[in-house]
Amino acid sequence: MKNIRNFSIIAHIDHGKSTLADRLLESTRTITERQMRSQVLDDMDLERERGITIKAHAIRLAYKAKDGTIYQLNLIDTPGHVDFTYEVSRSLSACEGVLLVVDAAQGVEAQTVSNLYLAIENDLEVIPVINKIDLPAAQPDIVAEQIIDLIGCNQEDIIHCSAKTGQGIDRLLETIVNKVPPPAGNPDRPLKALVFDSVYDSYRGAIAYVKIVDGSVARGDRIKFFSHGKQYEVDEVGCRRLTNFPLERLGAGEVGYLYANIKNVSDTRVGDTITSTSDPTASALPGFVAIKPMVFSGLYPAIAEDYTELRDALEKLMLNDASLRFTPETSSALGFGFRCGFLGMLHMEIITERLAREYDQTIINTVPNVEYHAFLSNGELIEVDSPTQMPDPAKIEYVEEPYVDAQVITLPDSLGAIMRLCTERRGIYKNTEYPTQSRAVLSYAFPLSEIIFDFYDKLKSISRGYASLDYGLPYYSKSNLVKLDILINSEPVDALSVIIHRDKAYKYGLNLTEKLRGLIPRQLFEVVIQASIGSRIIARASVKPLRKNVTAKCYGGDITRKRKLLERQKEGKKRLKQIGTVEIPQEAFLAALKIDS
Amino acid sequence: MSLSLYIHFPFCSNLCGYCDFYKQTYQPDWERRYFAALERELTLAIDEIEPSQRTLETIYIGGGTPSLMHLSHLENLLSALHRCFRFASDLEFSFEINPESINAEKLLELYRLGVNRPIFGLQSFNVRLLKRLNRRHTISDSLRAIYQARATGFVNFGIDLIFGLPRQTSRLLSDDLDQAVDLAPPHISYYQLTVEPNTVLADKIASGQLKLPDNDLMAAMYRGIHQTLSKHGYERYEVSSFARPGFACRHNLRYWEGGDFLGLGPAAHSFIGERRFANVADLGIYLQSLDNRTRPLVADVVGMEARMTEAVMLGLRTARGISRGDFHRRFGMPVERAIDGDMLTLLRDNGLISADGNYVKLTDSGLPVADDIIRRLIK
Ligand SMILES: Nc1nc2c(ncn2[C@@H]2O[C@H](COP(=O)(O)OP(=O)(O)OP(=O)(O)O)[C@@H](O)[C@H]2O)c(=O)[nH]1
Ligand code: SF4
Ligand SMILES: [Mg+2]
Repeated sequence: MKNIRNFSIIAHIDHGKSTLADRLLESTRTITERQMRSQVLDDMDLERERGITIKAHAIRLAYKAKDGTIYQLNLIDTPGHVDFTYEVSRSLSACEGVLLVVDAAQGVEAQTVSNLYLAIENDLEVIPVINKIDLPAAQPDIVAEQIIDLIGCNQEDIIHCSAKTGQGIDRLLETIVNKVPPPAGNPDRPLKALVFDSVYDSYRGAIAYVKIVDGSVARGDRIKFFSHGKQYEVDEVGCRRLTNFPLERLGAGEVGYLYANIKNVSDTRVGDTITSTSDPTASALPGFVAIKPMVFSGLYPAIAEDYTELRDALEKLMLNDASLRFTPETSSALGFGFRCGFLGMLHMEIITERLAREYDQTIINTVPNVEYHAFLSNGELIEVDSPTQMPDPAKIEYVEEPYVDAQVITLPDSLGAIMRLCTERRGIYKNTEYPTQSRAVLSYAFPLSEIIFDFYDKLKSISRGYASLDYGLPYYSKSNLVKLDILINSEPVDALSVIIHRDKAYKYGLNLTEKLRGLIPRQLFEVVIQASIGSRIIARASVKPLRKNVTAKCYGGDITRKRKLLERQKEGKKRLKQIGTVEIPQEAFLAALKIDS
Repeated sequence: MSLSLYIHFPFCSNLCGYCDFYKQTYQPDWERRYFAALERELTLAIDEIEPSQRTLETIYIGGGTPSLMHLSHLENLLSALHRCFRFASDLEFSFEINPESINAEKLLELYRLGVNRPIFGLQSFNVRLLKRLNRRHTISDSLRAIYQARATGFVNFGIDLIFGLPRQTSRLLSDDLDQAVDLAPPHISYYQLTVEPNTVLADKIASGQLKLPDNDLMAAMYRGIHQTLSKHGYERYEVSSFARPGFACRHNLRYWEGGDFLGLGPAAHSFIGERRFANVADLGIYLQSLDNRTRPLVADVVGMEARMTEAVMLGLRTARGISRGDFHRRFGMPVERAIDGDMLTLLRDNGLISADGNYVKLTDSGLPVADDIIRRLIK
């Protein structure tokens, strides 16, 4: 056990964690040259296409140190995007140390800071690493200063490396074995293992990723889960190489996986403790705080008949992504669908894309929103995670929306533009700090809804990529919110309703009605599109009726062909949604997603 | 029960860029083989027709370009037809003609053979527009052909025109209309250009090389056509068919009203005793199959529901509309069973459709958007 080192690689997005992992795998000859490709641990299609890590990936390395000792290194590569912070916190619970990677050109950014705090909270040894020193724009000295300021280490503690050229990797490996403490568990105590991740495998049931804290586990052992008490016989244990690598047993301090014919993934809940049936441990490990979705959206099948398929697909996705939430919901415009909760917009995007790709589901999603709290005159609190749940305004005393305290880290020269953007987004300014000359940290309180959608992209573009954002857990605060409805020929289209700040409602209504006018095809009758708040119409646009649409030819006796054409058209229009007598194409619903608020 | 006959002549001298009719380039020896096969097909087909039904009310020879054919073949074919069928005394005998492949002699010969309704595919009187459609004839070919038709003694004849051509303006359309009205044919078919998939035209439009008039302009053109032609005594008896009183095409009306017809030749369709079938659209297979004395038929099993759809679809395109009586006789149930009642009410409230005890029909504002109405009305 004294030769085991468990560590995660953490950083802001794109600072080179996965590439650094590649080099570590390479130097320790964990994978062959033939298996090597960039960011080899990012094995999901979506990860490879987007060039980002979405799930944490664990892998075991064997490293022969300078002193001749062979160490077992369990490395966990984590995602850098905020939406997946929970992946980082889980990974950290299986480790004794972290590599805090900082891009030599970008410097310390928001998730550098927030992930560092996670590591400190978990009492982990932090090894600061400046990566990408090969870049012409690298400023290792300035970045080193930022790091020293942040964690209070010495100049010499910082490893300079390039995950591209491999420079500095040897020193990094030595530092890992010297500085990361071995795990502290007791092999002689009863089995106590933490489930830090779990994934569903359709052939073998759930696979649990575990860190053995005390004791050990081997094939054939009988185990039970602390939370629900169900018992299983262990089918296989092992560690991760590029694929599963079965082992005789997993001992105290080790990280690995475990199969036990667990058919229900909800039975391998992340954060649960596994122990042995015959000799159980007295208390469970602390586990994780449940993650709450931040963004909600309605997901509807493009074709109504696909509802059950969509439900099955969501259920399967949830098996591998415990952060996904969904409950059935109906819409008069879109039919039967689901209200889904996501950790953020990237998470939502990825789920929709996986539904399309892995399950062949074409879906329409409604404008995403955060969860609002409506307080009624009678004191009752209604949690509103869909605009349709907003109670009658007459009954509402006031509404609260989630706010977050946020830090924007930037170069001082784009401060002006950034502050303007923050004001536009209803940010409440707190203060500005200059921890080093090259960095300014702006503190604001923002309504979550204002920063969760496209704020980050805007921030990046006005700061030439240098500004970054981090924010804490939401708290609720009063706000002047209204529900804005869209009416088509006087019928409300529930799927297009949004909850929005009163000051922004007018412009939004105007933009959306205008956009819809361009997207709703001309029909047999005039189509009137209105935006309203309560009974007050705030914007209106109309689509003129269709004037000519008759295929002229009906030649020969080929009536079959004409009928089939008609039937095909009818089939094709199935994808149109019907509001009263008006047919609305899917694009109209998607357009609402792209309106600037 | 009487019968109509359609004969498909699948040859053209050149292939027009918008056309997706079944045809191929004309070649005399293929034509010979085609006619031989056609006679063979006739002898096979006649067996399937009840003797009591062997009276021809109408004959329609279409294509392709029937005016390219060697008329000796037609003469032989007609003798064969006479052996198989009685010809009604008021037989309507239509024959499609392209202006560049006709002359006085040929017209006279057609007249002698019994054709009494030549139809001239003029399409437009504008040289540029014709070019854009890849048509070979000139305006003087068109005028000459009509003049000669009259001189030959044809009382009933028709011209086919197209509107909604790429870059056609209202001006250009009204020029065409003026010329058409001057020629004063008893029948005018005025088709809106349909862009068929997989044609040269479709490609050019997809690539942006050519652009069709927009929906409002199309509508204005169609309205202009209707107005001008009615002013000159033409009655719109179907979406794109206009005729002086008494000159409506009986053959086409039979299609629309659910009458029986036999189709001969490749790609020809038949409807006999509520059964639809068609020959394969492939001359090679057609010839080969008839060498083996079988008709290359593809039956289209059309269930009751589909046939009701057809009746609604075709009926609503005619000025008369769907006859409730005929519908009930054919299907044993009221027309309401085939259409969406709420939609009917809505369309009626909006003045697009009218329904009384005898007919359900589209109004003047409904007819131009017939496709959409039909789609939304059918269950
Ligand atoms: N020049 C240079 N580029 C690097 C280096 N390390 C990583 N990169 C590049 O930086 C980009 C991001 O690298 P990744 O390894 O995917 O970064 P990551 O931190 O894993 O990103 P996420 O998992 O999405 O948070 C890629 O284009 C890499 O090729 C380096 O040392 N030098
Ligand atoms: S002549 Fe008629 S059938 Fe032949 S290609 Fe042209 S439009 Fe088509
Ligand atoms: Mg990565």
